[in-house]
Amino acid sequence: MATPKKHIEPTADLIRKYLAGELDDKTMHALERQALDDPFLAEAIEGYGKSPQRREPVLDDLRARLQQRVATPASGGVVRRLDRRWLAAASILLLLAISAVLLLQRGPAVKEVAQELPAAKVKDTLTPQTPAAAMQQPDTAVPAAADEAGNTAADKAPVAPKKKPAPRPAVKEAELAKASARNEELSDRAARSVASAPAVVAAAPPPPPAAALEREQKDNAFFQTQDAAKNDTIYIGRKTSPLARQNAQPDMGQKLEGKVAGVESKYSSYHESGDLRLISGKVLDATTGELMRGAIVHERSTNKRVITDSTGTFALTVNAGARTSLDVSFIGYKNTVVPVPMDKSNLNIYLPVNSNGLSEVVLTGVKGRVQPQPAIGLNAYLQFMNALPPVPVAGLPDTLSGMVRVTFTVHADSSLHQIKAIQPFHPAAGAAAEKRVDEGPKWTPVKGRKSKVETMIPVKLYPLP
Amino acid sequence: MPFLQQHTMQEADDASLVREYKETGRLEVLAALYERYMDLVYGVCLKYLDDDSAKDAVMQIFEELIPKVKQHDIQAFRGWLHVLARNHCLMKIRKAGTRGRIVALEEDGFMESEHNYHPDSGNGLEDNLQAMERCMEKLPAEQKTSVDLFYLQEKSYREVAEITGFDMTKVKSYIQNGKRNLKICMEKK
Repeated sequence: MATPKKHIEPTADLIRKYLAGELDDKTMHALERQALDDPFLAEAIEGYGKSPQRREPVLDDLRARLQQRVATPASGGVVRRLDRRWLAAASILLLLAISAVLLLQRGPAVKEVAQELPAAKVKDTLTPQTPAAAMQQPDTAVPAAADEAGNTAADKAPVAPKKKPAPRPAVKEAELAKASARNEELSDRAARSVASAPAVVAAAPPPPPAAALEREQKDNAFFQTQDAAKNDTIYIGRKTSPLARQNAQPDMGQKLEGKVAGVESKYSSYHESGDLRLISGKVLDATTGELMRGAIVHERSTNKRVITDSTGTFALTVNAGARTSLDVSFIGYKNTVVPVPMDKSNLNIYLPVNSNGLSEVVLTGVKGRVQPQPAIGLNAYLQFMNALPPVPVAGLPDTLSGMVRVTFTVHADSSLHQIKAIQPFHPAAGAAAEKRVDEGPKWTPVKGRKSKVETMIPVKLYPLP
Repeated sequence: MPFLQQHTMQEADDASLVREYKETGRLEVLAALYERYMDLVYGVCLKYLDDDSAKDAVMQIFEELIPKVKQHDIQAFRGWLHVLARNHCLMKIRKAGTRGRIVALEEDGFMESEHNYHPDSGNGLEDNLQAMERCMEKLPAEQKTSVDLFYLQEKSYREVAEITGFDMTKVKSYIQNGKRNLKICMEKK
């Protein structure tokens, strides 16, 4: 034991050689001995031992990175400030990119965007006198001018022109629209102009899209009116408050009713706009038939999610050509996948209750951590404790019996320490329980370490005569 | 000049580098200190994380050191760094939410080096040796043989395995357990 300790510098290279068995026995022994006394080294060897790969290139790279990190002009503070600036720049870029992508994506399906903010827009821009006008008015920036244009247009057709920088061309366009409105293809056309709208929407900064959206809103309201009898609750969105919705929808209906009179929509329960179709339906509890509010409906082809409203109703648009299915989920119910047939657009979806209830809580223990056990087994231990005689206590009014919680630590040599009764029902019971544990059967420790144990010891007390 | 600095840094012990960094806040001092243990830190990270995360973790731990070395009163940098590195990796695992993957936290793994038993310190060296021999006799046969070969005859695990015919992993645990038992026995005497 007295041999001087050779300390060797444990490098990644040395460890790899050791693991590969390339070292001579003396060095191996030295390293092993060092590892026994040095948990840091032991853990590192374990780490390198996970794969025989050469790690030196990685470490060279890390060293270079460390040097680079240190060499960065000035220290700590500046670097961090710089980081923050980069972060800000990056987040702004990201934000811009996301909004651009969203706008572009929403292009063909503007309808939904519109439905997310209909009430607010309607309330903002509509005046009681010219509600329909405002509805058609695309350019919110020039209310007066557009108002006029809108009025004219509104009298003639519900289809609004795309963009109206000035009233003149607007009227012209509105007239065009009127002509087409005579057509039975009215809604189709509306849809097509919708389809051509994305460019405008995408190119314009925030406020102008609102214009396009509003037109969409109107368009949407238009076919909603047609559907009113069947689907008076169609609603997609998150931001609209129920109150605003209530206010908005009848309003729209009234205003538009007259305008679309005489134009029959071919489409009763869905709206076809070239490449979109609307799917709506209700989600119900399979056992009670109750309408389920707040169920999540996920459409797979477009990856859209909507939530059912207070009447359990949902609606969303999907790519018309694609077969699709809906994933419907609700906490406490089984996730249900419903295929949507091409010819069906109104579905009732029944969710079965998940009989397993919420997923079970899984308790996991730390590997290798085992409780010490009584050497004679837990059952025998408890029997032993139960068999012990009652304890006489002076001045006790009546016999008392109960369990006393006792905690203690079992050391590696199976000695018991810190035996303590926790809130015993009587001080004498606490003392008795502690004594019983101390003098009772031996405990087997978890090898090599001390661990805390908690156990219940039964104690009976009787009055000392 | 930079060479000279580098040189002095390589010579200095951990404690003085820690002190110097605390006083000057110079990152290169901390880096020089960290570099000494980078191989070990990387090894520890490899134990808990996959290759890429382990590499990232090595740099993240350095970033963590920058403020922490200043804040903490560090007695033994080596042990302190080990605990910090391990905690960093465990935090990462926890954040990643790797379900079901459980890492044993050996609470007294670190203690072992602190309570390092030094039989040849103090006066009763002869007593200690005698006690040691007595304790050795009490060890189970496999542990006794392994400990004897490893500690007294300075054989490597591989050699011990060859001589005894035990499995390598068995040899390792015999030696570890034998050492622990010896320690317990010696403390009791």
